[in-house]
Parts: sequence; C-alpha cells; structure tokens
Amino acid sequence: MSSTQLRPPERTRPLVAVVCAVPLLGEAMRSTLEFADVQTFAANGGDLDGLVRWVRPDALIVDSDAGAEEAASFARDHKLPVLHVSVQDGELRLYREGTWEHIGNGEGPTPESIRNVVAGALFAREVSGG
Amino acid sequence: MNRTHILVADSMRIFRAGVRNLLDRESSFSVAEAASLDDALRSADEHCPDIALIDLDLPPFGGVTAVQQLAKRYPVYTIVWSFEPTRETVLAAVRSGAHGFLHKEISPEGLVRALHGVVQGEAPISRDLTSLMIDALHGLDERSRARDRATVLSTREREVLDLVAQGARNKQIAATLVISEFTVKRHVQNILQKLELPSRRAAATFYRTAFGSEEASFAAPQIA
Repeated sequence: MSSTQLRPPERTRPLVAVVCAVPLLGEAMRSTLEFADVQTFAANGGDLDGLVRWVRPDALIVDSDAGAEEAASFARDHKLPVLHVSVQDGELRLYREGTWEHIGNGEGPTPESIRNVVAGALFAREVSGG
Repeated sequence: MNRTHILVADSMRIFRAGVRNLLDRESSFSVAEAASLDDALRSADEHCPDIALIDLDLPPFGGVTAVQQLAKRYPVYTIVWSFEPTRETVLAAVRSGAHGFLHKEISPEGLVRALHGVVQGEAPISRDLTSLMIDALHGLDERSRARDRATVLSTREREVLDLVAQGARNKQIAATLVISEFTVKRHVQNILQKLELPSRRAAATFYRTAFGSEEASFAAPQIA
C-alpha cells in the first residue's frame, strides 16, 4: 500500500490518531491540536498497524514505550510521523525518517511543544508529498 | 446553578490541559490550575475550590504534604492521584487527610463520575485501590496486635529479639550486647515463652510483623 492511498482526498483538516493508555492525554490532545481532527483510541495491546491502515491518520501519537516501538516498525513505510508522549517519564520524541528525535528543553511534554512538533511534522509530510 | 470549583494541582501541564478540556465541557464544573504547592495555595486563596485534585508528586514536597497544607487552610475536599500507586502511597495520602485516591489512567468518564460523586458525598477511590486499602488496614491491625503483645518483653529482651530478627546467632548477639551466650539463650527462651511462640524463626517473623522496617533496630546496634 502506498502512502498516498492512506489519505482520502476529501479530508480538509489533518487527522491525528492518538492511541493512549492514559485517556486524559487524549483529552489534552483535543484542545492542544485545534488545527486537526483528533481521534483517540485506547492502547489495549491491539493491532496498531491495522488501526493505522483503517483510520489512515496524517500523524500518530502514542504514550507507551510498547506503542512507540510498534509504531516505529511500520511508520517509515507509511511516511507517518509518530510522536511519543511519555507522561510518566516526562519525555517527548518524534519518529521521522527512521529515527527517534528527542524534543524539548527539559520541560517535558507541554501543549505548546506537542502542537509545534505535530504541526511541523504535518507540514514536512505535506511538502514531501507523504 | 452553583458550579463546583475544581483545583487541578499537577506539575505536568499536559495533564492539567486534559482535565481542563474535559471539565470545560461540563457546565457544573469550573477549573483552576496549579503547578506546585505554592501555586495551589495561591489559587485556593483566589478561587476557594470545593475539590482539589492533587498529583502525588506535586512539587516541591509531594501530594501528601500538599493535602496537609491545603486542609490546614481551607475546607477543601482533596483527591490525590498518581500513576501506579502502591499500598503505602495510598495509605499515606489517606492518613494525611485525602478524601480519595484515583489512578491517573482513569477514563474521562470515570473522572467526571468521580467528581460528581464527591459533590454527592461519595469518597472517590478506584476499585482496585479499595482492596489495597483494606489490605493495608488489615496489615495495620495485625501490626497493632503484635505490638501490643510485644509489651510483655523487657527492654533487653526486645534488643535480643531485634537481633534475632536480623538473623544474628547467639554468639553474635552476645558480642553485640556484651553479655554471655548463656544469658542470650535464657533471653531467647523467655521471649518464646512470653510470646507463646514455638521457635526462634517464629519469633523473628513476629518481630518483623510488629516493627517491620520502620523500627528495624530500635535500640541495639546493627550486626556488622
């Protein structure tokens, strides 16, 4: 499946899928990513690749190490930016072009940093025709 | 309509944002935020919250201290929450005056339900934490009974028992307390008789139940 097949043409706003073990993170994402449509899903150890193929998001946010690891295994093929927001460890990292990049200045994941990273990743994906 | 004022005291802004976004949709709640104990006290001055939702790790001294400080100054209903709470942390929070304890992994619906429950006089405690609390209370009860029983021992016998519980042999105990091995044996026999215990091992277990880690060595020096 090519990455262009992942995005339906009728979508006017980017779609961000949030797969979280901490449901209140999903709530926070709704208010933080006001420029996007946010769909939240419970991280229950299900098939994340299948979920992404079904939902076809423009970006994926996960909050668990396991979710981040699983997402990294297929994100490159889909040219899908993945943001790992670890609320327990207070860390934020972005998976892009095959590597994880730590984000932030020691403040931990803040609404602004998440908003900026997701907006930047979506823009980069758009520009690169992802 | 009277709104219930909620103070969310948590150092993680992303968490506060999640709670605010959730509760802003509820017409019956208003939300104030605090990132630290100082913030929380200032905010409580300003907003007079009905309920304070306090992170167990709230800077700088933690949620337990925050509960005590807030409760001293305001008639606020305090709920502590955290990731992966232990029996000890839940108990410490409740003993400090918290009215409830929740998991941070709580669902949005669950949190709203819990807060509405508080307004109706319920104590919000996650189901699994309730059994944890009961376990802890049983532990306290058992400890309390064991301590009562230990009052029959003399100070010297308790010193000997402490060392027995640390795994010391009679010779080591004798050297540590500067008494003869014969005297140690006599103390051990008296301890077993007074406490009606069958063996040295049972006495050691009894001592750990009664005094645990908080009083590992109450009077005697540690065995080298």
